[in-house]
Amino acid sequence: MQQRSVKEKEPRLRSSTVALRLNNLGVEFPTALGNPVVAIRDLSLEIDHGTILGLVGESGAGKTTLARSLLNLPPVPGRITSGECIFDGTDLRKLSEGEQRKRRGRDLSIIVPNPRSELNPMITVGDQIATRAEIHLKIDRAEAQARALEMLKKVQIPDPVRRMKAYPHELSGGMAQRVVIAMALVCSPQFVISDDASSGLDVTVQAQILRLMRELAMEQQSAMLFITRDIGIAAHFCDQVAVMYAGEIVEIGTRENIFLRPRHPYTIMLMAAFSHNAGLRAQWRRPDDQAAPRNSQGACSYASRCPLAQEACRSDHPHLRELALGHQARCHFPVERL
Amino acid sequence: MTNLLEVLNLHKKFPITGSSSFVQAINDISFSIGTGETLGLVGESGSGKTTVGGCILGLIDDYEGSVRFSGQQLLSDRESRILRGKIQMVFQEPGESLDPRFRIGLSIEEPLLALGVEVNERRSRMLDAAELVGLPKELLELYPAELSAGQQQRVGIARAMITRPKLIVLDEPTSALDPNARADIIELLMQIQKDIGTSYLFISHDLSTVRFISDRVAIMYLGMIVEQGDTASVFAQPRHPYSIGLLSAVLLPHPNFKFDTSVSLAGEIPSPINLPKGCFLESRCPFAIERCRTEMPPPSDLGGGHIVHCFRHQELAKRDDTSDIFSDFQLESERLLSFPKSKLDHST
Amino acid sequence: MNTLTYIARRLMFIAPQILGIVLVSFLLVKTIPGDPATLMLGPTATPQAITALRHEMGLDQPVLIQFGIYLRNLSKGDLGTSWQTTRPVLEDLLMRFPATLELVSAGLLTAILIGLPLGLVSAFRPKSWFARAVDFYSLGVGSLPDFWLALVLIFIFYTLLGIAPPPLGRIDLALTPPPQITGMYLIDTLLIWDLPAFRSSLSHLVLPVLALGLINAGPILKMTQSTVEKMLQSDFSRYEVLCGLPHNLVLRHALRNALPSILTIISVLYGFLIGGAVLIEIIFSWGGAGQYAVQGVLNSDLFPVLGFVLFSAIFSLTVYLIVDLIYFAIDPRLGN
Repeated sequence: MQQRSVKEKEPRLRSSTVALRLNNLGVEFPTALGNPVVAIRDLSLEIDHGTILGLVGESGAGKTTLARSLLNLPPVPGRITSGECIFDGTDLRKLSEGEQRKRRGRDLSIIVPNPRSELNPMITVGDQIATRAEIHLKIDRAEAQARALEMLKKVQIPDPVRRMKAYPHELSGGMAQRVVIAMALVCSPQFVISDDASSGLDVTVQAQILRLMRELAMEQQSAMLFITRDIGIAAHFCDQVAVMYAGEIVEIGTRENIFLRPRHPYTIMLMAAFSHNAGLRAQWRRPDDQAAPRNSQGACSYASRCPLAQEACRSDHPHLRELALGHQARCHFPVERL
Repeated sequence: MTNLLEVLNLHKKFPITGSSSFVQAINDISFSIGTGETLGLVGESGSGKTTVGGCILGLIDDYEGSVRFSGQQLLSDRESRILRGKIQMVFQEPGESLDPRFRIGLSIEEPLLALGVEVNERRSRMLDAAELVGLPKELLELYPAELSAGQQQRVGIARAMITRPKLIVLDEPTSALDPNARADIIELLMQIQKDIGTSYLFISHDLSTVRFISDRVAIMYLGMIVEQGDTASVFAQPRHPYSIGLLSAVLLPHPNFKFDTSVSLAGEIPSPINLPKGCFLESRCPFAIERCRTEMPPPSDLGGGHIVHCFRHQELAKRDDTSDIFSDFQLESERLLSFPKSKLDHST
Repeated sequence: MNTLTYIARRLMFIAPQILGIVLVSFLLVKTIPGDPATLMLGPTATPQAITALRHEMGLDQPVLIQFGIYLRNLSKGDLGTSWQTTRPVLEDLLMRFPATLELVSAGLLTAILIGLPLGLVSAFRPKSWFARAVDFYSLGVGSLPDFWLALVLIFIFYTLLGIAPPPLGRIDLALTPPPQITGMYLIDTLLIWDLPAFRSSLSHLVLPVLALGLINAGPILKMTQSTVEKMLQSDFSRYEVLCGLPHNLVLRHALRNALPSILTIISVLYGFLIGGAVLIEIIFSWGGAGQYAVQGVLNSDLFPVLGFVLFSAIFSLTVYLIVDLIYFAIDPRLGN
């Protein structure tokens, strides 16, 4: 077999700085009886090349639904009811099934948590990465294997040559996560979604992996959507931060804007939870704190839990408003800074 | 004052089937917990922290060393320990530790069944326990699957409190919860401690939470306590390279508050089989010297109960900038997130 | 532990396993009503003759002693004698067991060839009309007895259409059966290159194999369908779709992961059919081992029954061992 050097990736021509533009995405889940549950409501987003957008929120906010819907594969039994997912100029949803499949994995990649259950247990790790490269980059087996090895080295897996032949169950959690990252990045995708990819890892391993993901994304000038429940990660690794609640973005802005000047009561409540300050937390929550109803059509979805809610909040659904350059909030009465 | 719990020179090895080597889970650790006190046990995977909990509860017997509770040597007899109900446990996955076929009320009562308490008293104590943890009566008739994760964990705590324990071992009780539920549970635990005086052994890898809830902390690495002492002191002035490495990985939710990342530990955690003769951290430690490879560092008492196992701890002391980043962050949070005074009377 | 150690360990266990099986069978067979001596000598026998014969056959000894004697003979390769055929059981079985093996192997192969593809296709397209038809088929097949289907097939293809040979054994009565090399006619006729005999044996196999195959395809089909469906819904399959892997690759991977379960059911069926095909054997006058054993039971003829149990136990255990080895080869999570 002829030795071929690993081809360097040709730089892609880009139409603009915007890598992903999501317009008015709507996703709903049918229920056995009655109306479907709206999981994502009229959501729009823009992410530039070379930036990392952190998406924070609690479980049930719709973060994973959003991640999968970006790939046009909402979690079963969800349905996308509206929206365009424009990726480098083309609407993914308008492409044929085959074209979409080609984009997934090559241009649009997703990193998932619980790597060991997401990797095929019967195929070696090296083969899984190589298959991805082989199919999407249309290169031959040998070159794919070489690329897979190179990726394993890049994600700093110890003893990469031996690990190529390992099976998923033989790896620790941290190593399996690195493998999933290697798999996601082997085709040098332009857009990477990380869905809670570092949860469940040891603290020091998490720190390494986050740094690694950021470096690799920067190196390839990819855009990245970083989904997490831990706002600490957003504070240190993301350029922009979006806060999600009940299927909507309630606040979005640069990292400094969100953390130094939070305006939406939900954002503040979330941040207060991390401060472990009981008095502070009590101020931002109502005594009758209940989970949000999903289909609150004519009202702010946070109104029932908001300590600052007024009449207008219960009758009028707020839109995202620009409060300052690089800072938007979905609130009729965003909190003023003293 | 005699300590409530005294652990002295605990060792535990697990044999590996099909081989003559052992997993050295715990390697000579000693610590104590006083009445009404919380000791945080911090470590990553392989540190042995869960095994320590198991030994104290009697779930793991066959260890070497001594575990004394209320001054008495505890026998390696699970029944004698747990039956008396004085030591209890709260688990990590609240959903998994509750029997899905039992209603919540029944799950809470269950420990009293084992103690032979009769039905009326059981019921009244169950109601008391539910009230203690803030569970409304209506929830008691539901099944675990109908509760949120935070509520399920409250049930776990109620179940632990019902036998009026003096010590509760909590193994990652909030790792699986959302930030709000997590903060609620921590607040609840602290309230219970204030009102009733229960002691906690709080096992976790979440340093922020440990900093908040623990009076003292012990940091474990590969079955050894590398540093222990008063929480604020240890976290503000860590004297062990591993502690420093661990703290530098903490991400506080504020972009301006960062820990010193100049000390980083290379590589991954080695396997707990066939540990080296010298210090376990030596292969990854940027401060390691020749002596570290051949000798295990003895404990150095830095005063005030702060003990560290490192030959280089004095050099590390010189690096201090003596700022307690955690408390600085707390102050800043308070300032940043304070409720607007003008609105305090306006909430409708 | 490596493969050789594993095989050695398993083989070590086979001996006590077989001992246990034979002991239990021995005791169970002893409970069958009917006294062989009485049956052998007929209704005109005198009590003394019966007692004498019982003593000669060792039937007046305690059961465990009888078992001990049986084991001792077993170690010398003597499986006892059938009083029905008056031949050594070993000889009888060596003649009949290959017949059953041939029938059952061909039947199982047919069942796999029918059940596996049908199960796969209905797992790949779960809501199609095809899947519904397949469901209907497996439901029907699950409720039909195999011998009834055999009779129906005989009726249609022999009686009505006349294209199948009569159900009178393994080969045309006018032809000579091949010499016993393996005991399986298909192989032996090819070995001596007797093509007419080969064709005749083949045509006699068709109907019984079809009956066995159609019925036993049911469990294979169901197992394949449910396991592959489960695999396709698992996390790693969904992840492969998220990664944009082509559909047929995802399907291939799902099948690979489903193989252990499918193999298990095939191996269980195989062991079962050795004795379970007896009704088919009777209908087609096959002269197989199952038939032989059943006659032994009906005639209180102890040794054929025990001999059959021994043969099929060894056969099943070997099949399980081979299947376990295949598991090792295909599932990296085991062993090593």
